[in-house]
Amino acid sequence: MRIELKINGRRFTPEVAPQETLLTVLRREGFYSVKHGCDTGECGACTVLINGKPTTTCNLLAMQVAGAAVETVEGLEESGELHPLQERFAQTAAVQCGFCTPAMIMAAKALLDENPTPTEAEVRRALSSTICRCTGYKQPVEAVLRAAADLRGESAGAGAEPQPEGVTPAEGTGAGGGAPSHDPAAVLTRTPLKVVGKSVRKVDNNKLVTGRPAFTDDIEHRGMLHARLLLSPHAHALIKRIDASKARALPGVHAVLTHQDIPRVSFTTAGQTWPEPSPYDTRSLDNKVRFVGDRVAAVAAETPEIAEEALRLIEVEYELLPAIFDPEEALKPGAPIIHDEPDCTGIGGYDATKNIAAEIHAQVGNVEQGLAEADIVIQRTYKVPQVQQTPIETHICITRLDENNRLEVRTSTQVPFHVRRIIAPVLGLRPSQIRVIKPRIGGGFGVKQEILIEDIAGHLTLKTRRPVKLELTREEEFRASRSRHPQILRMRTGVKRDGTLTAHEMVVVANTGGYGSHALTVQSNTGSKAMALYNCPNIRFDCKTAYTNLPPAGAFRGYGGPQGFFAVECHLDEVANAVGMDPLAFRLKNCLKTGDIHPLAAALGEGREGFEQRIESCGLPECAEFGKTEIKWDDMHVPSGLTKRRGLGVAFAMHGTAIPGVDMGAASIKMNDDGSFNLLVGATDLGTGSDTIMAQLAAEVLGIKPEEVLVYSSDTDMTPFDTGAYASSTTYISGGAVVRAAEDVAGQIQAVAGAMLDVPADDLELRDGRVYANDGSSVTLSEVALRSLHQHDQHQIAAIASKMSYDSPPPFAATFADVEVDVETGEVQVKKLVMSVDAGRIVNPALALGQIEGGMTQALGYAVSEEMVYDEKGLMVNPNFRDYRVFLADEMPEIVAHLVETADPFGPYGVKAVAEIPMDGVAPAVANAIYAATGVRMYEIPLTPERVWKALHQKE
Amino acid sequence: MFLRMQAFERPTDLAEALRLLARPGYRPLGGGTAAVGPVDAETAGLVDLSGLGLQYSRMEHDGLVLGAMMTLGDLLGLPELLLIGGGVLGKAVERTGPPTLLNRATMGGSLVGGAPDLATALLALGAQVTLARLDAAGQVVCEMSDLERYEAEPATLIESVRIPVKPVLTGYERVARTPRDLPAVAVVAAMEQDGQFVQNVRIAAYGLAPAPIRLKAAEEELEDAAPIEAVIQRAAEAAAAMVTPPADLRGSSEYRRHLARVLTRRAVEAAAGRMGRM
Ligand SMILES: Cc1cc2nc3c(=O)[nH]c(=O)nc-3n(C[C@H](O)[C@H](O)[C@H](O)COP(=O)(O)OP(=O)(O)OC[C@H]3O[C@@H](n4cnc5c(N)ncnc54)[C@H](O)[C@@H]3O)c2cc1C
Ligand code: FES
Ligand code: FES
Repeated sequence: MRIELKINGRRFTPEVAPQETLLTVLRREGFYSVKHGCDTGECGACTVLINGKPTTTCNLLAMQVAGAAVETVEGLEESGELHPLQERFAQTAAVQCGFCTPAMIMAAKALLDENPTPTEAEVRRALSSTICRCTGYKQPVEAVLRAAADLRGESAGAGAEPQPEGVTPAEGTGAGGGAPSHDPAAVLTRTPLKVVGKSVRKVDNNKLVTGRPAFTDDIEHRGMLHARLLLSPHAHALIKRIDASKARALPGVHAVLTHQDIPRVSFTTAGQTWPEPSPYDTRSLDNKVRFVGDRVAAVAAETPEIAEEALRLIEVEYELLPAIFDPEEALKPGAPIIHDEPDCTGIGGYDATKNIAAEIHAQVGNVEQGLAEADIVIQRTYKVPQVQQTPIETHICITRLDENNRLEVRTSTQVPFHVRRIIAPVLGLRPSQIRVIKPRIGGGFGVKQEILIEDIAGHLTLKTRRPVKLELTREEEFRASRSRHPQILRMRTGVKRDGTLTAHEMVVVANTGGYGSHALTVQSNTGSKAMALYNCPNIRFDCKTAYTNLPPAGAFRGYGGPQGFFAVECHLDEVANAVGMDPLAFRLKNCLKTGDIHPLAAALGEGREGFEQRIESCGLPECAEFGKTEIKWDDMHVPSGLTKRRGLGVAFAMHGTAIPGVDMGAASIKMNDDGSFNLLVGATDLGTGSDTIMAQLAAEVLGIKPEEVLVYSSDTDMTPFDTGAYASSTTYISGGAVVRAAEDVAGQIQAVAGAMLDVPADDLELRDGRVYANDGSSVTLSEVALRSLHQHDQHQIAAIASKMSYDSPPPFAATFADVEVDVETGEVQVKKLVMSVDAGRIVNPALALGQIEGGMTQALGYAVSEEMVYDEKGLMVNPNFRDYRVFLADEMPEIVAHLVETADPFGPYGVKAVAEIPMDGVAPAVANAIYAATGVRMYEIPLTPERVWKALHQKE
Repeated sequence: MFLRMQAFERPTDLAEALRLLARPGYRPLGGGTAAVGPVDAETAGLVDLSGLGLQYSRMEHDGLVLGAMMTLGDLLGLPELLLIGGGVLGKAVERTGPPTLLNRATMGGSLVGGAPDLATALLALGAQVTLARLDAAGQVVCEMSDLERYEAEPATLIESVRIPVKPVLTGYERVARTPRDLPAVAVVAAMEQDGQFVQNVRIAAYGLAPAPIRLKAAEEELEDAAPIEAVIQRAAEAAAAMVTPPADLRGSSEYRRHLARVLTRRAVEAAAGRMGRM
């Protein structure tokens, strides 16, 4: 039926079917700003205004609003001018991945149309309909308040990017404690920096605030089929018989694949450097299912509805096998074996016959001896839950055969080069027959470091020779993607009465679920990060990672760190208490300092041998000082109410910067006629702003504005190799490659300019888009480019460079929490969180603070509300945002993010990583604050009302 | 995602709507926030109620009457809302979701589609629901607690909700994992003041049974009593004693029983705390 809609003031008369949602119709009409993140009105990404009011459109039929006026973000731009809301979002890190941005802008527009002078609380309420998994909401709220002022005509200097507060620049050494082996002042003052260190506008923000088609789904191919997966309803079963004939016979179905239809090739879904340190235990489709949600079959059909209908027609007969969910049970002799198939291989203690996906042992000194020397030994067990990354854009990919019969895979991935290499043998192709294109990504947080759908879409395209789109629904994303490894952590620590650690031991049993992707490396990170932050002569880390029949774990921002730090930081709080020391003073006494040797780096590599690391910069004392003041630490014993008790808690953290000796990034730069540059990087910006960081680094070297650098990332046909966006490596590794390539290009420019100005190339300086000689004479970059391309000794000024590093300079952080506990109900209200991070030199403060704010918010969910919950048959019971609680804009505590700049000799301009460390400290800081408030220790997260009540109750 | 849906109807009179709803697989549609989205292989036709003129609100002598298609957002905008139970209804509506939801979710759809805070508040306030039916009986007026009985009947519609407007004192308490989460338990207490005493006590709770219930044992302890500490404590104990709560991810049975006690006490204390001196 034809309906009429007024969209952004223009009349449309689309033909719609009765069951079609407005979301489907708007996207079909080309309004790609309206995003799809769920189907139940819960994520808010599909918000538009209907007759002026914000409404979700995934749970609204187009027929319901026939005749209505619809407004989308596409309608806001007026003759090329951004609306103040768009402009204010674009200026800061209010936009990270940008997937939620159009929805937030529209919700804010409706608010400002009605209420030009909103309070912060009103803005938060308006934005509460949109889940943003990236930002922590702070910068979006500020953007709306600034735009409101602009619209009232009150702001001065609306043009410039606001420079956020919250960075303490390095002073001289900038590092606490001992002596570094280099001169930090020299690192920081090597050259006066023009672009690095400034909160420049993100290079990709304009396209995101205007909702232009940038994401995987924002493209149409003629004849594209819609794929769906049949997921296992059983936790552990053999497929006795599978019959897809009825499904194949359904009109509109083009292919149905079961394990009988494709070759059996073992691989790992973990997108890691070759040879991957994760077991090859997965097949595209198998005759055995190992968790509720495991893949059974795949369908490609003309519409999503036909595909769904076809799934229901596939007949499967299962032979149920005993299922096991508890990792400790799984490791016992006689437990059902999850990978009993012969074609599984693995390394790192892998032993499928015992359900061991990975096993790790690392020791320095002698823990038994250390325990014997201790005055006090404290032994406790901690438990951390399975939680999910939940990027608002779920896994999605579109495959097709191009004109050369090569398989083009357009996919939302963090690891395009690993995707190409890993799926090639699975599909029976050579990597060169595959081209992987990574468009804009709507968040990843690790779950897109995993190859979960590209193989299936590839199989379907090869079978049908048609373009195929495969997108996980929100429910499937919960049931069938990846998650953070749940762990049981046993801590044993010996301490002298003066607070000196004599022994420190962690024994972990981790649960990797049905498949072992990242099973070894996540767990080794638990030890190498959390057990290495404090100096102790005797340290032991032992870990077994068990296969069970839960949905698999994998990579999730923090990568083993959050688990480990919850245990260590709660435990050491208790240890400090036992020796009568202030927990902050205790930490500062024992933590690593500049000049120390990382105690575990050599003993614990990521699936390979490790490399010794010397700590060249550590800003923990400064971080602690900032947080202490901000949270009013010295008032921690203020009396609180009888039923509502207040308390403060602290936790430290340390992370890594890239995997030493493993991560590699490359960049190529080419100069254009007008003096602009194309920068091609394999690095993938998942919303972190790394494209902008790359542009800033290149611009700094080349003496130009970041806008003059056209960043393209990434496409396996076009851009040089990069291991991908993980392990907090992008700025350090890929950025290092960019700086090297830019330096090479700068040299070539100097050579040409030197000939033009008739001076030695070495005497020339690149600055403000020109090349200057000592005498003040200069040529523009465009003149240099034109000469080199068209006039004399013609050649392309261009360079390509790579970077790998054996050093992984750790960032550090101190987190403080102020909480209120209702001792009758167990409800915990986090009032304020403060996190101060030493991430080395900061290239773009707004982006770095955005990373910290967003990370703190995810970590807050880990601390108090997020948890994947299962029934006794292994079925996840909360696979939606109503029951799986991610924090919304109007639920947030006050959050304060802060940066302490130190100078590290290894990274470009002294950078270290910032993206993962914010995940580590919140849960233990909150748990320690609960102790301060109530005298009760919490050994398990999330700190739900019931869990806290039970702990309080037991004490009574 | 509707797999089998053939028809979308927007009737303009109630009788026609009811006739359409008598067809197999036809369902009423309010705002659609709950009905549209999930995979649905049953619905054959949807009957959009937005053409029936049920978007009204009307103040009558003893109550506020809300048409079934009134949105929760419009409800929040009504000045009369403050007259009802000290604003408790507004607070419960606010808890029902973000603005995008309130702009579309309707009164009728919310009573069926699951809006626990709202349903609990309406139960405590003594709201009555008017149902329209195709069969000879025609319209019926029922209590909130009887609604479930009629929902199963084909060709039955919620037409309106009547909320008594009288000076009641209320208290509203809830416990949830985060402020915007559905509650593990929510308790709304409403009562009228008679000197030092309270009467017409109604205490409703969510999370203690599959649907919102009244805590009658607690009400009885308070009825015609002075709400002093010992009485309130007895009422709270009675609330806990009368329930066998279900367990789910928001709380075990044991914990919910404990919350029944604590939140009943707090809700009643809050209501009693609003008593004027006489
Ligand atoms: C993002 C989101 C967040 C939510 N959060 C919360 C929350 O925090 N707390 C909470 O309490 N609830 C929450 N909900 C649930 C919400 O309360 C319901 O979705 C909403 O109230 C349903 O109203 P509706 O008019 O859209 O109903 P519809 O979706 O139109 O209908 C729901 C059901 O009621 C039937 N129906 C509709 N109108 C009538 C009528 N007049 N007579 C008889 N039957 C009728 C329909 O056939 C259908 O079965 C949330 C929902 C969403 C989408
Ligand atoms: S709310 Fe519509 S896509 Fe999630
Ligand atoms: S920027 Fe909000 S979800 Fe990524």
